[in-house]
Amino acid sequence: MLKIENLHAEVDGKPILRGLNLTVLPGEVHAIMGPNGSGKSTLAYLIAGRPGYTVTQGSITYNGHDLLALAPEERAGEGVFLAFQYPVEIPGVNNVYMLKAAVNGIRKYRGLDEMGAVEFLKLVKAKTKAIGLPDGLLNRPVNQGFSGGEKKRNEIFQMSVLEPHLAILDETDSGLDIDALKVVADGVNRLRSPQRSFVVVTHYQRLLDYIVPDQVHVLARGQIVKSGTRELALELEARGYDWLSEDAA
Amino acid sequence: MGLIESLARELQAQPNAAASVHSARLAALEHARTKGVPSVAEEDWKYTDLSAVVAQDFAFAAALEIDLDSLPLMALNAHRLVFVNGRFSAAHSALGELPAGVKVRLLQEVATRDPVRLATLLTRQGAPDASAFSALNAAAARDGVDCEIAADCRLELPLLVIFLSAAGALPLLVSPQLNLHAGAHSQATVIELHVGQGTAPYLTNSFTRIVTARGARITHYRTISDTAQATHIGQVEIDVGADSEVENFSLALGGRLVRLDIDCKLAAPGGKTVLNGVFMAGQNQHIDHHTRVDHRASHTTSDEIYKGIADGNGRGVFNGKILVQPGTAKIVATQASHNLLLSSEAEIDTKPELEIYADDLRCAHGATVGQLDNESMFYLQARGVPAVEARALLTYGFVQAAVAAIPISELQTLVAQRFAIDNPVLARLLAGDFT
Repeated sequence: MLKIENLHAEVDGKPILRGLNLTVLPGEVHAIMGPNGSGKSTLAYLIAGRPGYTVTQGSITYNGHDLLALAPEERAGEGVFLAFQYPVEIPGVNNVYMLKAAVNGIRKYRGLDEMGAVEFLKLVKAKTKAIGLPDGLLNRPVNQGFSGGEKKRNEIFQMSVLEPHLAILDETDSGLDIDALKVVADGVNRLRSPQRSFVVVTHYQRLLDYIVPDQVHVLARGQIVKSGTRELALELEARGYDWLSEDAA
Repeated sequence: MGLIESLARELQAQPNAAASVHSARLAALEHARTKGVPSVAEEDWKYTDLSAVVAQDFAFAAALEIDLDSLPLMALNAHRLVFVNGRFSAAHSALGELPAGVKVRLLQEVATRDPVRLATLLTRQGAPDASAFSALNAAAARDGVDCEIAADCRLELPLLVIFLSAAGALPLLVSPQLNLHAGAHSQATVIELHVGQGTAPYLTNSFTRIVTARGARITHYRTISDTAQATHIGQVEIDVGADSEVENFSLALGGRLVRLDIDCKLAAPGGKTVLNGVFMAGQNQHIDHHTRVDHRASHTTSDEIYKGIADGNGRGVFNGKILVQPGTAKIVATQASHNLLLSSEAEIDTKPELEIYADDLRCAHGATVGQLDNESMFYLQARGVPAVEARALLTYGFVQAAVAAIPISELQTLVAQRFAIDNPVLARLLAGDFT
């Protein structure tokens, strides 16, 4: 599904990723852990196509296509979704309007007819209930005035409506209390399927108690320095990241 | 010959009005002639050059095939008056039943039945301190609305006045006039809509006068949906009575060259004005708002928010003057001008102008000019919203709060349609009611 090879990338001329390799197969959940500044968010943004990140070497291949050649909305059309670490507040743009534009933008990309208003509302209602998103949030401007937890819940809600093939969760757990964390994890687990893959970027292993990954990778100084199973996350929690950086050096 | 002499000839040709009215018109014309059309050498007009427009010869009447289906707001439940090229069209109007105490008359009617009243209004409009365009409207206006609302009377449905213009061989001069006198504690909503059809150029020189007595509440929506060939000069004069509140909302969506002067006097204690504006200057459009709030009495309040957008090579101007006269106290005046530039060629000049001659006041103002937020663009695109639509959504989002505050959904739709031009997907999205 996703194959990242020898990826080097920089922001404002500053190298962030230095030869990253990662392969995610359909149905797999991969956790990316690592200290602050290791390049976790950069990786997430590069997959989603955020402007301002320059790839100097290497490639990201998605279902056999060169992902880097696509605009962000084309990547979404291909089934890529990024749950933002800091969801953007957009005054004046209603959540439902945005979501309808997104759903139909993706359908159009795939050569499907637009979804009608009634069908769309039905879909949104069902997903709202499943995620436990308060009704009031749905018709508010995107993320405006939402609490931290509500923003993250909104990301998961959008993910559940858009049903991506590859979802990147960028520190979706940060700043969440345990209840909100469970909601997020539930949302992800409900979507897990043999065709759908997840890359879960996190700083803490706590989230992985609820979203059990197939593989755990440690990102440090722009490279994956260690990969393993769930146990690696537990070890990281016990020992911190320093021992790995030393290993790598 | 030019605008002024075209009008002089027209006045000579059609002297069939009461003597007092005719001489008021001639005096107004003379004032305009002496004063001259303002040039870019004047500070207040430095961004808006009308010299090419006023150098043309004008016609004063033209036949017009009206396409009613494309005329906006016709479905709105309202007391409707329609003027076509400045002349009243009974066929397209539907005044309905007015409450007792609301008198709506055509200017023509006032000219024959109450010439003294009309002569007085026109004389004031062409007074020595009046602008040339105000005087030209006095000289040229043949038809228009004179609305008087008696004390304590409440108009439940809005009064909708549509001025539809289009032209023939020569550019047409249209001079709409709207007078509203609101008695003590009366209430009304007035929608003034200027709209054009066809592809020939025309010049609208409109004059609106709102005078309120104690405690009256008037809301005035002034919407410009003129054609891409139109020049629109609009003057709004508001006199707010004691404890009265007048809201003026300028929705400037169309026209090629637009200049609006909104002039509000707060001359009695407790008076309040709310001035709102949304303008969208697209390719080849120039939209200039000059507002002036004159706090002449103590305990008066003004609250002003303008939101402007310029796209393509579009150009916007906002100049907001607040005057606080000596000897006044307890004045509250706020003003905000927020602007969005959608292209590198677009330009918006915004200038707050405060003249304050008193100490006991609260006054706040702010002006911003910015661009679409890149983070928001990426967020929407990452969700699958195509870039063109994402841009349109964010652009509309910029004015959404102001538009959402309009309690008339048909007006909201009119604005939404302007933002959805060339973007049918967005048009459907904004028109769709899934909330």
